[in-house]
Amino acid sequence: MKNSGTIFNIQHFSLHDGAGIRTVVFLKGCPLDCIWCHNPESKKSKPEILFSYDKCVGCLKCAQVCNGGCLAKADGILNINRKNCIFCGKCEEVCSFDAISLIGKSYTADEVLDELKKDDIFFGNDGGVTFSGGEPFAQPDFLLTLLKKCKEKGYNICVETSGYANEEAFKECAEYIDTFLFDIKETDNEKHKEFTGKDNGLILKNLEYLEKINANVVLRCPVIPNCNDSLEHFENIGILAQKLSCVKSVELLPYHPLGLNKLKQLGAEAKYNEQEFLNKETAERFADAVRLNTIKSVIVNV
Amino acid sequence: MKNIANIKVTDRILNLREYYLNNSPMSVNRDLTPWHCHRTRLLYLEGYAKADWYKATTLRMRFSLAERYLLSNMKPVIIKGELITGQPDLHPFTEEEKAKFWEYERKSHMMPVKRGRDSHLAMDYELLLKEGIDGILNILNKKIEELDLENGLNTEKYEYYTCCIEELEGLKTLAQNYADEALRLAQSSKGNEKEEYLALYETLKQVPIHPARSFREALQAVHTYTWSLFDIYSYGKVDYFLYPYYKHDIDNGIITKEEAQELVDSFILQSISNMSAWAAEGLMLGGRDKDGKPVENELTWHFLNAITHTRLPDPNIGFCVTDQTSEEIFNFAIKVIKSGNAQPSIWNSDAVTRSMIKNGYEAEHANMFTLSTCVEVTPIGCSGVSITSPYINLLKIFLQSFEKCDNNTSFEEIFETFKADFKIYAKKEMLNENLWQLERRRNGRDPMRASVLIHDCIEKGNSHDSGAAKYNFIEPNILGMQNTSESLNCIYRLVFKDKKLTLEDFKEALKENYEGKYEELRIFIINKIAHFGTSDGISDKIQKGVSDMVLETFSGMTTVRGAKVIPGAFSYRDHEMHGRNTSASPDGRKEGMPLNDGSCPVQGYDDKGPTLSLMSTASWEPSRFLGGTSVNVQLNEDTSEEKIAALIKGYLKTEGAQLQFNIVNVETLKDAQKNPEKHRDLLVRIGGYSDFFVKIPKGLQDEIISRTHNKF
Repeated sequence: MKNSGTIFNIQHFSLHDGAGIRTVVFLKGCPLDCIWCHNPESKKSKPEILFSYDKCVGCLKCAQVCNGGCLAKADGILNINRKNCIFCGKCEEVCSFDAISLIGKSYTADEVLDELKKDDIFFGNDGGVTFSGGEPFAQPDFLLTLLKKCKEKGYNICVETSGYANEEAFKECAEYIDTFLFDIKETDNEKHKEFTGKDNGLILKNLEYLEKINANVVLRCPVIPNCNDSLEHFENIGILAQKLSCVKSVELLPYHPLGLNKLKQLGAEAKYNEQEFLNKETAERFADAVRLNTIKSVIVNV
Repeated sequence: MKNIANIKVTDRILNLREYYLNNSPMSVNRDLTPWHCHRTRLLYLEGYAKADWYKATTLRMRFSLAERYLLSNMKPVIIKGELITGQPDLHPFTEEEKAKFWEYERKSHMMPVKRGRDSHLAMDYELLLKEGIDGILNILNKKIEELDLENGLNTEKYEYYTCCIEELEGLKTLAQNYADEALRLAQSSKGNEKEEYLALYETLKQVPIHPARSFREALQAVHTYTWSLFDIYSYGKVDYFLYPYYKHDIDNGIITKEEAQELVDSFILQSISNMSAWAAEGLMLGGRDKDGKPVENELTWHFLNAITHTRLPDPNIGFCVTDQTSEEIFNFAIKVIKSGNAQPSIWNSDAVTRSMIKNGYEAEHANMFTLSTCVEVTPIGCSGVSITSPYINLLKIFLQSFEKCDNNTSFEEIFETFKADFKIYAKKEMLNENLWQLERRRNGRDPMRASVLIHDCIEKGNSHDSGAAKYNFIEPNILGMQNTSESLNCIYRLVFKDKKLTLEDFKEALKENYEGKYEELRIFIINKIAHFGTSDGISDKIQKGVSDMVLETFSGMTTVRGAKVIPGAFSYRDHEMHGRNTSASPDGRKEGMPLNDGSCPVQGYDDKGPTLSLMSTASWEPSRFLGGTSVNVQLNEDTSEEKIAALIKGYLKTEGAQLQFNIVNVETLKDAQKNPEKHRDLLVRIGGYSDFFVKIPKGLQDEIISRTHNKF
C-alpha cells in the first residue's frame, strides 16, 4: 500500500463533479496527452512551477531565496530556468503577489483524510469525495489506499477517470467506487490516437468491466471544436450509452479555453489554440445527437 | 401543502405593495425628510404639554397621558383595498403644524431624554387575542381594586396600573376612530367597494377592543396593537399563536386558503407601511412550541409563501429548523430563499434552545424563542431584554492594546494586555448601560401598554422598564471580533512563527496605513496568510479564544436589575459605520474600511468555499452569543436548491445559530450601483436584517460586494 502521492489541488464545495456537496481531490499525472487539455498543470506526475507574468512586479525576492539560481531577470522580465528547479517551493512562499505557485505537493493519505474531515459534516446522503486528476489511476496504489480509507469513513466516492488505466489496478479499485465519471473523448480510435496520443482500446475494455460488475457510470464527453465535434461521434456515444446498462446518464462538457493561460504560466507551447468558449447552444446540438440514440438522461454541464 | 405554495399573489396585494413603496417613509423613490415621521411626535408633545395638572401627578403618569392624547388624536388612515389597516398619518406638515412642532419642542426641553435601547419586545399576543383590550382593562381595574392603598408601599403599583389604563383607553379611541372611518368610507362608496369597507368596519369594531373571533380579526388585532407603539417589535411565533384562528376559519368554511393567503400577505405588507427606514419588525416560523413539540402547519406555508408575494425587506422572517422539520417545508423555504428574497433566515432551533437553558431560561421559554427584529434571541411574552446595548468595537480596543506592545512582548502577553483592556472597557460600558437602565426605571418612556403583554409586569405591578419582566438580560453587541482574531492570527504567524517582521515594524506599517513600502505587506497578508474562515486550525483556535474571552468577561457581571449580561456578535449596519473611524489593523484592513459583516470571517478571506467558512464559524459555537449572531453566505444565482439544502443541513449539525443567504451574482450588484432604477427590488442581507440594495449607502454597498462570493 502506497501511503503518499502527489496532489495538485483539493477543492471543497465543488458544484459540478457529482451529486451533493463534494470535495474534489485532484491527483497529478496523466498518461494521455489530449491536445486541448483543460488542466495542463495536471499532466506531469512531477511538481511544476506556474508563473503568471501579469502578477509579477519584478521585485526579485524569489531570486534571492532560490538556491538553484533558477530565477533571474532577463530583458526586464523574470525568467525561469525550469530545468534546475528542485521544487522546494521557497519562491512561492516569499512571493507576496501570488505570481508563483508550486503545483503538485506530496500528501500522505492521512493528510488527505484530514482535509476531507474538515467539512464532511456537509456531505449528507448524496455528497462525498470525488477523485479527479490528471488521471487518478496513474497513482493506482495511492488511489487504492485513499479509496479504502474513505470507504471506512463511509464517504460516497466518485472517481473521474479517462478510463486509461492498468486493468488490474482498475479492477481492484472499482469495488470501492460508488460512481464513475467516465470520460469518452473520441469513439473513433484513429482520431483518439491523434488527439490524445493513445488508443481507446484499453479505455473501452475498462468500461466493459464496469458493465460486467454493473457499476454506476456517468459518461462525460468533452465537446472540442475541430477535434471531436462530429455528429457521428456523439451519435456513437448515444449508442454506447444505450447499450451499456451501467451507464446511468451522459454529460457533455463544452470546451473552454482556460487551459491556455495555464500553459503560458507553465512556459509551454499550445498545441491547440482555440480561444473561444463553446456555447451552450452548439453543445445542445450534439447533446441532441446523443439523445437520438439513447433514452438515458443527457445534459450539458456548464 | 404544495397547494398553498401554488397560490398566486393577487392584484390587490401588488397594488398595495406599490402604494406603500411609493408612500411610506421607507420608499425608495422618495427623499426621507423628518417631517414624514414626526406627526406622532407632535401629538405626543402636545399631549405632554396639555396634560391635566391634577391627573399628571407623576412624570410617569404624564407620559402615559401624552400617549393617550396621541392615540386619541391620530387621524385614521385607510388605504383603498386594505384588508388589514392602520398606519400613521404621513402627510407632510403644513406650515402651521411646523410652527406648532417647534413651539412644543421648545416647551418640552426639560423632558427627560430617552436612554438605552427600547422597544424590540416580543409581546404575548395570545393574551391580547383572548382578552381584547377590554378584558385586559378588567384585569387592571381589578388589580387596582385589590390594592390596599392604605399601605403606601402599593403606590407605585397604583401608578403603573393607572398608566396602563390611560394608554389602553387611548388605544380604544384609536380603534374606534378607525372603525368610524371605515364606516364613513362605506357610506360614501358603492357596490363591491362598499362591501369591503363594511367588512373592514366589522373587523375594526371588534378588535383589538374585544377578543378576536376570526383569523382576520386576529391579524388586525396584532397589527393595530403593534403599529400604534410606533417602533419595532417582534410578532413572535405567528404560525403558533395565530393557527387556532386560521384553523377555525378554514374548518368552518369561513375563508378559503386563497383568502387566508391574501390576509397573510396584507399583514406582512402592513408591517412596512408605518416603518421608518432601516428598521425591521420581526417574526419567527417553525421550530418548537413551549412543550418542545414541533410547530409546522399550513400557516407556516402561508407565511413563507407571503415572502415571495410581498418581496420586501420587512418584516425580518426567521425559520426555525429542527430534526423534526419536514423535508417538504424545508425544501420550500429553500426555494423561497433561492428566488432572491434574502428571506427567511435559517435558525438552528435546538442549538439556540440548549444555549438559552444554559443561560438560565426555563425550558418552556427556551423551546419557543423568537428573533427580536434582527437576530437577537428573546423568549416570547416575558422578556424586557435590552439588545445591542451597547455596540462594542472590539477591534478598536485591540488596536489600543497592540499600541502598548513592543519588540519584547510575547504573543501571550499581547493577548493578556488585550484581555485586561477589554475588561476595563467592558466594565465602563456596562456601568453606563446600567445607569441608563436606572434612568429608564425612573423615567422610562417605552409605552406602558406594551408591558401589559409582558409577564410578569401586571403580576408585579410595574413595567418592563422597571425590571418587572421575567427576563431582564442585557445583550451588548460585539463588532469586529473576526477582524480582531484575524489580526492576532496575522501577528502570530508573521511576527512569532515566521519572524518575517518585528512588532515595531508591524506598528509602523499600521501607522503608515500600509502605504508606501508597506503596501506589499498588506498584499502578503491577503495572499499568503492562512486566514480565519478556511478551517485552518490555528486561526480557528485564536478566534475561539477571543470569543471565550468576551463571554468570560461578561459572565462575571450583573445588571442593575440583577440579571445576566449575554453578548451578541452581529452588526446590523454598524460594521460599516464603526469601520469608518477605526484605524488600520494587522489583518490587512486599511483605515476606515468596514469591519467584518455580522459574525462572518473578514470579507474575502474565507475564499476556500462556504463549507470551510461555516466550519470555521461553527468552531466558536455562535449559539453561545444569544445577543444574536448573523452569518451571511453569498452564493451565485445558479447554485442549485439541492446544494443550498445540503449546506444548511450540515451547518445545523453544529452549534451555529443562524444563517442568512444572499443569492445574487456580483455582476448584478455592480450593475445595480450603476443603474439603480433597474434594480429597485433587489434585496440583500446586511448584518442581521435585509434591505433594498439601491437604498443603502455606497459604503455599505461596497462592503457587500467585497464579501466572498462563492462560485465554484
